[in-house]
Amino acid sequence: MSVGQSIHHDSAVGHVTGTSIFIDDRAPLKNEVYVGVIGAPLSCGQILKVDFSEALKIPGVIAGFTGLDIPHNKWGTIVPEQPVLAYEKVAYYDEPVALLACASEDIFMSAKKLVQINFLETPALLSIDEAMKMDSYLCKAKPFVRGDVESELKKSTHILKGVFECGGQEHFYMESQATIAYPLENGQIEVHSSSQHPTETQHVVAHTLGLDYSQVVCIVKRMGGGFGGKESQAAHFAAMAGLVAYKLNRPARLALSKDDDMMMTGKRHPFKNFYEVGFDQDGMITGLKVIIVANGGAYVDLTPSILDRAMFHMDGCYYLPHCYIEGNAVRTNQHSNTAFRGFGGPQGNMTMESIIEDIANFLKVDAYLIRSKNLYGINERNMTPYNQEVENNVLPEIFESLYKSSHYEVRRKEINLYNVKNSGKIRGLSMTGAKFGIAFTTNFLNQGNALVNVHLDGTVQVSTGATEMGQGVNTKMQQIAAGAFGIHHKKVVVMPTSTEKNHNTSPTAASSGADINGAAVLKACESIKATLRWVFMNLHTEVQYDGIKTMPVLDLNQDLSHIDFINGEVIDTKNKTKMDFVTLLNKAYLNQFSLAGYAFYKTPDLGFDKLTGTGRAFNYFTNGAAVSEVEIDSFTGELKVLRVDILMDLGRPINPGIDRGQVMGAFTQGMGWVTTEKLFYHEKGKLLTHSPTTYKIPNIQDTPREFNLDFLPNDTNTRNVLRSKAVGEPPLLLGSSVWTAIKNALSYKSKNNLPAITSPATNEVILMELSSYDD
Amino acid sequence: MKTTNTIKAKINDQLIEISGEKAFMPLGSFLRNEEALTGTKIVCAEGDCGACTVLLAKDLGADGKLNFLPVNSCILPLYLINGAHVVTVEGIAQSKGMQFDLHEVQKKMVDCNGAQCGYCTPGFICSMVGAVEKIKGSDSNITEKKAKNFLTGNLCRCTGYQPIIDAMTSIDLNEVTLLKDRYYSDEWVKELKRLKSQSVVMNLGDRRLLLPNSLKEACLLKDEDVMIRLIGGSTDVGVVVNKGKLQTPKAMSLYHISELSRIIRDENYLIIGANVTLSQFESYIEKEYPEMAGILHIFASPQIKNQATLIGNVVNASPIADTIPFLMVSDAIVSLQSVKGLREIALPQFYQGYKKLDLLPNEIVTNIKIPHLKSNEKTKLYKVSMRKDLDISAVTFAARIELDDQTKKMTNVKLALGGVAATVLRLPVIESLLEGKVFDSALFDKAALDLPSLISPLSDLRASKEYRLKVAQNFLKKFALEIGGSL
Repeated sequence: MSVGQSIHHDSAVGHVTGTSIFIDDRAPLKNEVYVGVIGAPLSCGQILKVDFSEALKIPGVIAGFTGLDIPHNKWGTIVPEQPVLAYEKVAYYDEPVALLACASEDIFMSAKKLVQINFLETPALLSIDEAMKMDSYLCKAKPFVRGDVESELKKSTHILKGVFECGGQEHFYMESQATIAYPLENGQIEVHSSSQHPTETQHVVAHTLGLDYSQVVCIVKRMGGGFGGKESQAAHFAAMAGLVAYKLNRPARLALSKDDDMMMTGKRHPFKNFYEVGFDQDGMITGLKVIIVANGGAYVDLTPSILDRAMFHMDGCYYLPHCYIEGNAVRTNQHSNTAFRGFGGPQGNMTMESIIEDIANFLKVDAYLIRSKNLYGINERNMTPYNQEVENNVLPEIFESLYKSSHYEVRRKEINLYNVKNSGKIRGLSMTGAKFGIAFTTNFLNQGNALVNVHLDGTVQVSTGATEMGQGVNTKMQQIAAGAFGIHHKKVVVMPTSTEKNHNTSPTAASSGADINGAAVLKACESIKATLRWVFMNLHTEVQYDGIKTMPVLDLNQDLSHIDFINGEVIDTKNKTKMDFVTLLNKAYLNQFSLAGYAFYKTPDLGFDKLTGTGRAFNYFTNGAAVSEVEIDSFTGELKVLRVDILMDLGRPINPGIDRGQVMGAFTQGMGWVTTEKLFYHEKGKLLTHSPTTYKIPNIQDTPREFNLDFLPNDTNTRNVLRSKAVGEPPLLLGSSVWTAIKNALSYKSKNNLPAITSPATNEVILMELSSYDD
Repeated sequence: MKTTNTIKAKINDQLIEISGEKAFMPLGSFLRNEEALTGTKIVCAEGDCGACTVLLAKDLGADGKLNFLPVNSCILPLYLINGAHVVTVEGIAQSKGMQFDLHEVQKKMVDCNGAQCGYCTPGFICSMVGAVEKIKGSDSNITEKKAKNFLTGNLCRCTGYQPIIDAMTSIDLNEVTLLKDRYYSDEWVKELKRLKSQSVVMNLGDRRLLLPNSLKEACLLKDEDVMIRLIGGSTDVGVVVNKGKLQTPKAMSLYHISELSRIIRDENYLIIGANVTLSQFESYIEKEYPEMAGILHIFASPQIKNQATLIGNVVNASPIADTIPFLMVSDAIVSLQSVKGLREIALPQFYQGYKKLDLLPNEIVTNIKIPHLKSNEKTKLYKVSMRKDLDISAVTFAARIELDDQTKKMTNVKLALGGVAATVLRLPVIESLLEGKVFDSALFDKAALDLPSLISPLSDLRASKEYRLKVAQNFLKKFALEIGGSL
């Protein structure tokens, strides 16, 4: 029984030996072409003409295509408004506008300079402020309203007004967008894609080319990282490869360079949130009013859902008796911002944590006091702004427990002493929390299906709509199926995700991959087990079945729950009989019973009403908290993260080893977002930080000098498969504790000012803030 | 003179021979596209992420065995591996068909969940194996600090690194079979020496590739065709070529010239040859110039330092090059050789403007000479960048000063700043302000106030000019505090 154990990742041996196959590792076919993508040399305007004639003179350049060659040149997950290749309207710099089919990547590199693009440029909107000024809104959400915030703010002892501003973030999945389209027979296309959403990829490819959905199969073996960047934005690249395959009837490979990938694809949304918070002398929050403004970029993409999630997480872990939370997203001439681990949640949560830090600095008390006072309660003060009850609330337990285990109090005293000395260094300490809602807030996406095939040697193949991007969902599926059949996990193989086995699937996103697909796997296994139980029972009757006598018709209405599957055996716990699992499979087969299971699962009991802004938006919450200690160099603003302690509530983890990697990885990614990962654009809107030389994700040396992680034992989550909890996104929110710790460090020098920094808090941001206190 | 027109090397167990234009191809692309060794991944194609890391033995170690070092295969042209042995991720496990007997490093990466998506993993495996090749046999074990230092050149976006650090620190060195033992053969070592003793000359129409085996030959070639570009470790040129911004139709490497591969210490100077890599330089100066070694620890990855040469960094002449400020305040001298003879020039005079050098078209930079440190001389070097490790500097600072222990008098004051003008600058105005004075931190405060009129930093994607100026001023103040003993 491997559920709950840290068995290793199902691809681990392949990964360490270099034998795991990614898209661009697939051996090329003889007549295959390389598809190069050419980006627009302007942020806003119109293409007048694309001239391939010079490029086509180069040997090995096969064909050029523009938006004018595409049968249906519009796609979009929520609103179909984005061109696969822009033509009439260019909406951001380096937006794909042309394709060159070449014999090799090298040929493309030399030929692309010869493609002449004539265009007409019009003024571009390149920031939230500009877009707000021009009233360029992409969407607005219905506000969450509770109580009467205006009059409550008027009554409050203290009011703080402020703006919280955070930047975007590049996913920096190691494997850039990649896809190969193979033309099959009868107008069919098989697409291999590095995609978190094979179903959408299938649909977009088919729609773009004017094919039926049934003519396109999308297969995803694995991704070299996704983080949300391949949820919606893998699809149009697959469509580009599909277009070339379709036009040339040759296999077409598209594998972006890191530079092109970073320039052409969307990122985490920058936000600018305007707030007003009221609180009493003890730091109890009385009311909060927030106007959220997200930078959606050029197209709608997933922005409305991301905006929703930002609103859902504006409360952080804290009860807001009166509140008004308004969401807006602006449309700008930048890459279309998209899903990124946390999906708006981090931007909301961090705003709240920043506000708490400000309240503490204003009242000159430790921010932990403000946090613990305002935390959601267990039996009261436990309704979110959207009126969902925080059930089985473990937040107070997490905060108290981490406060003790991290020796917060002692370290605070040490830091107070340290910062009095003139050492050229300043230290700060801060704890932040996460209460991350688990479920797609677009309700219909909360569904999944699974296909389980049991073979006669007792091994099992499992297929679901979940895609493996490193997060270990396949390993969890393996454990769930092995646990269900009572067999060793090595007897279970999880197969590549394919739309011909699992269709109408949801993206592997919202941390829900293991939840909804795992539940479907379990259901599929249970359906096979039901057959096997019945066969087992009926084999033990007096009758011997042979070629003439066949078994009676399967009756699944009997209660056979006393028959268990344990350690490769099927055991009747009542009658004390048992049979080897493999023997039973063979008996079932010879007696003509199906050993396949297909199951459909939908998350029950969700009910958020968008019109009223209230209801059960989430199935449950994954909770956690982190304490970060930082050190700032007062000469340069350089940052060191000295120590991080995390306590996570992951329910009953299916694989603690994998979950540990998820937590530490997500935290580090969150830390990068708030510290060194700065996107920098040319004044014309071109992204200049488009490779790791200029865009700095955390390096191994940036990891906390001490990094402690614990899980809170929690057996209460009956709402999810095997009482586990989703893990992918929630810990990313905790990265903001590094940023609030910087604020805390600055507060030691800020005299009567409230430290006011933006995110990411680069060395420059820190030093300039620090030097503003000298004046 | 023995001359050949092919490049020969070994990749895992296979001998390869390359002729024609293919010799210009980056090793990484060759592995993936020509040899079907797709375990090696190309992500950034600029030597910054480490996914393409392979192990390269160009030389023999002190033990007479192959000295396998991690390098970035994406920016390493094939002509720089002549006579070398390359081991890729596929060559690390002992494999029989589809069966693998994992290397200790691989086992620990599996056990510690060191791989998630798997795309960076082959590069990490190669760097880790490179580390154990170096560490095993020395009397040390793998500490967390050491683990991090060996893996600075590999980016991972999934794990947050901790599981990889766990894997690295749990390696049992007794369980490791070293590659240098596994891949050792007398014949191959003989062949390797033979290959490097030859000259390689490839004349391919308007492209040329030259690996002369003597300085004399190199000077003759450079004299007859000034369009020949000298390539050191290719860590900068390789990037620019990959990004389609430059072609190197005519390339010459000096690495078959063994006299340029040495560090020589004479009475007055430390003399660094053109082929000396930053790694070799770093370990040589560790004790003598700990400040410079400290900068080398953070400024580039092991992979880059194993490839890049000190002289390459000097000749590339970037205003934010990390070795130049140190060399500037050290009064280093550049040796230039041509058929006409030797010319020596002080480093500050070598730089005439942005990437503009006092270097004649037929000259080759052969050595750099660093005068020895006097006993009462202090060197201080600072740099700041967006990320501490493996990032291009926003501002660099170097100071060398003689400070009398008794009188606290400052003499021979030399200061340099990088990232604040078109070249790395010496600061004569401030130097003379301080020269001969008794140490007083107020002098440095004054110097900091004078600084804005002396430098002209730019705003760019790495930092604003305001920040660069502020940091430059703070570096002066920090220097004062450090030599004054208050920090």
